[in-house]
Amino acid sequence: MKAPHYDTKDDVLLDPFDAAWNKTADEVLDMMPAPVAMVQHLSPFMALSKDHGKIRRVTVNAQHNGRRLSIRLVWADDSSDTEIKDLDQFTDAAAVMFPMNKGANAITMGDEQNPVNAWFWKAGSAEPHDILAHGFGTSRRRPAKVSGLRATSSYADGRWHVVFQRSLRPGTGLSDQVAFKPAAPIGIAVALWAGSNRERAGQKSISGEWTAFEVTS
Amino acid sequence: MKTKAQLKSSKRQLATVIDLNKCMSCQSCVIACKNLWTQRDGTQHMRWMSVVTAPGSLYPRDFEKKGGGFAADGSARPGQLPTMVDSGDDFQFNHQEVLYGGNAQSKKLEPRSAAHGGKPEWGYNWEEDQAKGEWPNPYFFYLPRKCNHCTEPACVAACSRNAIYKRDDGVVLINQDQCEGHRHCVEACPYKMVFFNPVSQKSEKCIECYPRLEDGIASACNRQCPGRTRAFGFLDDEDSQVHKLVRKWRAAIPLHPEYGTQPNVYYVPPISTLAFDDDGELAAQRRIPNDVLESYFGKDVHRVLALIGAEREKRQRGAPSELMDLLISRSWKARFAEFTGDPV
Repeated sequence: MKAPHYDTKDDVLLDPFDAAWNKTADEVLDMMPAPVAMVQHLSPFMALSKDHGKIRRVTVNAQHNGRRLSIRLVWADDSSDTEIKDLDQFTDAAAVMFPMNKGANAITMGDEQNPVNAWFWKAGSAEPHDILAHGFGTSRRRPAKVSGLRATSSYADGRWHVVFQRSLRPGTGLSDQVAFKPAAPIGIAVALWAGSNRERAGQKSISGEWTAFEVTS
Repeated sequence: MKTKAQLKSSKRQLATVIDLNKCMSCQSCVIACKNLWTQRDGTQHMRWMSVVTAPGSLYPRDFEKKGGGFAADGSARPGQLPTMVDSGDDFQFNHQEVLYGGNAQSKKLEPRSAAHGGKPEWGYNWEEDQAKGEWPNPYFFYLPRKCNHCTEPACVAACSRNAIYKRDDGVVLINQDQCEGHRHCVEACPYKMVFFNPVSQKSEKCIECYPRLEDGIASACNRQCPGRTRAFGFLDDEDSQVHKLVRKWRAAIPLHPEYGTQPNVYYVPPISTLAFDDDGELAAQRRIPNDVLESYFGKDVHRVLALIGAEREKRQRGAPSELMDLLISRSWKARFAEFTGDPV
């Protein structure tokens, strides 16, 4: 998928309903339940999960304005879960992930030598988190004031609309943030969590291996 | 990144022994714990230490039906999450209306569920002193519970963040900086002694008052027990009552050993009063049926009941019994090994 260059203001690029998105191509990704058997060593209890992966499709759009990149995710979820009112409740969440080098595997969230960088949004949370991971269970979160990551969200007509936005270049001193350069294709992967289905951590829907992703000049 | 084997290893193991023949459900241990640790926002429903009437739904409600722990082959058993009501709720009272509104003659104090705002349908210690069995042989016993600081902790195995670990003294802790509130530990703990804090959105549990332990002071629940029901110390300390009761005499045994986590709270099972027979005479058997005790403490309970019976009889004959002396414990300091320091 491509993220075209339009001269749009940063704040407009954060509006999931702005007409600017109509100019971008929809990339529809099929989602599947994350294969939790792979996390047996990290949590044999999580590995018992059978019914996760409620969300099976997501529409992704992307654009940039030469400074900042915005990625919009839209998916249908019949329940909007933004609060934990009882001890057995979970909130909806979404993430996009990029490899930090060519060797990183999406399904394992990278490995020791091949990290991945992800942007994580959780319904009801004050701010999104920029994540660096070296494989399952290793993710470390950075707050938005460090990462420069922004996110907006809206639930309407049975659909979540979430926009992530970050500078094309990594933040100052953040060599472990993914960089976006024209004509330098990388990969993107998406993960979604349906709170009503008690999805969290490895219990999620994933888009599988990388989908090609490129910002155009 | 530490391996699960590293996270669950400890140099020694602290243990608590609770004599169920002496517990009178006064709740001193519960209040001691609550005052110290669970008055913060989001912890009001938590009782890291609880004492309720058994048999019954216990605490958290029906925890024995909520799964978790390990099967005999060591595989993980699926578990469920207790709700706020299951976890004891946090009743709110209309103090303002009754006590300060000039309504004392017309309004009554009424609890309201903090979970749903309505009339409570269940709460902590809901079935207090409700007996099982038929007249003239009703029976119940009090069951104090806290985190078992297991040797094979299911919570440690379950945490995909590797946020849970055992200290060198065997105490199991949840690193609050690493916890993401995913609650696999709550599902995995077969005793449901891990609690979710919906305000911090992290899971919490009994910390065995480790800051006190480091100063040589017994954990608050153990120290505050006025009935001297508790012994506390290292299992490998041959001079400790814990060692003598658990290892030497094997008179204290864990709750639900079949859950497969090797818990480190050990119970001296209750020897109930003799039952009445059909003629109203004292019968040979006791009021709490042996199969009921077996359902809590496993088959080993029969050996322990026979052992305590035999030692009691020895003592009644005037012969010495180290086990009876241990269970009586005339000095509270004898109960806590090296942890006899003063908390204030």
